[in-house]
Amino acid sequence: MPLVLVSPVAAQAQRATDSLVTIGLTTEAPHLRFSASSPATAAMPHFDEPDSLLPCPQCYPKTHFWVAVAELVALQVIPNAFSRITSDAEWAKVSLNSWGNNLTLPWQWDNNNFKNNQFSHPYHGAMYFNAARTNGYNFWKSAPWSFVGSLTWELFGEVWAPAPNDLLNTTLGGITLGEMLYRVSSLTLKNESHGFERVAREVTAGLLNPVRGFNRVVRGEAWEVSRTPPDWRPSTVFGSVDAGYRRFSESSNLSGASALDQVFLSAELRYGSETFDLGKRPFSFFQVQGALASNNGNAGRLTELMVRGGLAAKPLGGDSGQRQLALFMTYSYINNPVIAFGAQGFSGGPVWNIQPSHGPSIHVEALGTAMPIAAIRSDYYLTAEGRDYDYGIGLGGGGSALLVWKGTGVFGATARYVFVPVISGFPGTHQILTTNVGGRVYWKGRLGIGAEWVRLWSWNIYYGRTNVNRNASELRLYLSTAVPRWGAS
Amino acid sequence: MMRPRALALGILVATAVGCADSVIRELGPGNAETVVSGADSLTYLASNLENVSDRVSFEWTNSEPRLQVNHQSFIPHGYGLLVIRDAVGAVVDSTLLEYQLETESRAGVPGVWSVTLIYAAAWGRAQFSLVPLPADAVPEVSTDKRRARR
Repeated sequence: MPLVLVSPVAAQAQRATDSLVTIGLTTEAPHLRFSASSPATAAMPHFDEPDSLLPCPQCYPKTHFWVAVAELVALQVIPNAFSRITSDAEWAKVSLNSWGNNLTLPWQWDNNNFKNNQFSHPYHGAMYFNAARTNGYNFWKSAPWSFVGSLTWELFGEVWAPAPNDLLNTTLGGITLGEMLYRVSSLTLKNESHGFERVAREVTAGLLNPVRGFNRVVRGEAWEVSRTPPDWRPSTVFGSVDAGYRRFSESSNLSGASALDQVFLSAELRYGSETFDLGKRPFSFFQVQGALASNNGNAGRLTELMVRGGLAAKPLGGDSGQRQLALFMTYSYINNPVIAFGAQGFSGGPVWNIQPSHGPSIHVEALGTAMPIAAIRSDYYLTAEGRDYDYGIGLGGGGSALLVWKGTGVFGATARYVFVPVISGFPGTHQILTTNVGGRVYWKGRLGIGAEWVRLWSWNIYYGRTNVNRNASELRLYLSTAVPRWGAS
Repeated sequence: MMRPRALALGILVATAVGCADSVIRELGPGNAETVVSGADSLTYLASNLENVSDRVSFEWTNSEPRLQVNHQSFIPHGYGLLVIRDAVGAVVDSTLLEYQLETESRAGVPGVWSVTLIYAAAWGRAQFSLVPLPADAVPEVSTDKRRARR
């Protein structure tokens, strides 16, 4: 997670737990059973032979190229036609003339508001990605579909000049959100289920991933009873829901006129094992964290959405999984009264998961970060259309250390830095440094309390205008519930 | 053997297409520029903009200290910038020409205001109206009032 005023401790609360925890999914998928057979392999999930003789037509899905193409086209035609019909939108009245202009005239950075560019566009890209992913293609073969979908929309789907920020956000954000939504919807589905449970699962999966929901209905998969493909289930899965209070202030001690109180609700899903799955297929391990907050001003209720998925990993030394060189793909969306930051990026570096025979397990990582596109709230750039942020590339890195007492609690500290030279917006540079410390304690494995203390410093240099430095702080106090119970074994 | 020639021809065609309309134009009769100025509003329209780079200014008497700008422009390529100065020359508004948007100026000194339009490689249509606003009107400049363009 590259940036802050988020909940990195919460985000990492389970980061190291996967090496400690085995979570039974037997109630979800009867054919998968995890067991800890010996101390040496206690953390390794084991797959028993399926106890179901049901066929598994979705275990080896066929590719449907032309269906995917048709869906990609529909994902462009439908929003265009909707805008054209319902609001007579001029930007939707594409023609040979507009296509010619878009192919020959310069691209322009657009001025949409933050949420539109940093959330809506990546979400649309996720649908492009899933046009391929849910038609039988794997991660790598689906990734170009986000790019092609975004490029064709920019060139042919609207009259506006193609925007480089849209192409980057839609393509990269679409891949990250798309694979995350594909896997979360897989987790929701259970092909063996019947009746109300089946309807609830299919509807939920369809809401999470509408392209997949459509395909399942059209192909009859939504009601076909069969085996759930084993790769729809991660080796471990962990979720948590936190609710509580947080206070921001543009001061070091949470006081002053800028102090702001919020009630927040956040959720996190940790999918797969960072120790054992990082080197497997892309996103076999990922984390997603989202938060809603009250009193969030013009930023809206969605104040945070962070996704980090493993792309590749290489063991360092002989011990499998304990020391790895890992590469992640990241999506960042933070929007609150103190800071707005959105980015698509990659981070990589060494990751250690140390499990001493006594005492807490230790997770340490030191990752460099490169963000092809990063958006950050500007002090001077403001357009009538609503854009109040600068665009640039993001470069930086950070480190974190986490101590985990199995079944009891976690304590961690994180520091992140990012440098953003402005490419579009008010000329200058931005630098942000964040640190946070925090911990949480659980009782009876399921219910817990937590606290985090976050500091943010930013140095914003503007050419020809007064520079702006910030020194902000945030405190979070919350109740937490873990699903399944934290530390279960 | 034909590949280099085909490549060269392709580059030539692409260059020709890319430069086909690089001519910088000023506003002309084809743009049917109209300014309708009255006591209760000013309306502006210039259409069929094709790579127009130009600067135009005119005056308008505003009896109130502020004004509302009703944006109805559609400039998919290039830019149009609207700068409004009050009776003593202070800038009370400086904004891009937008598509379906309402904004309000800062307060200024009533009297003869100047309106300046700056076009930069603009394609499409420039269209807006200005309406006087009394000082006590509730400001509307907030992101809630802004409409995303797509």
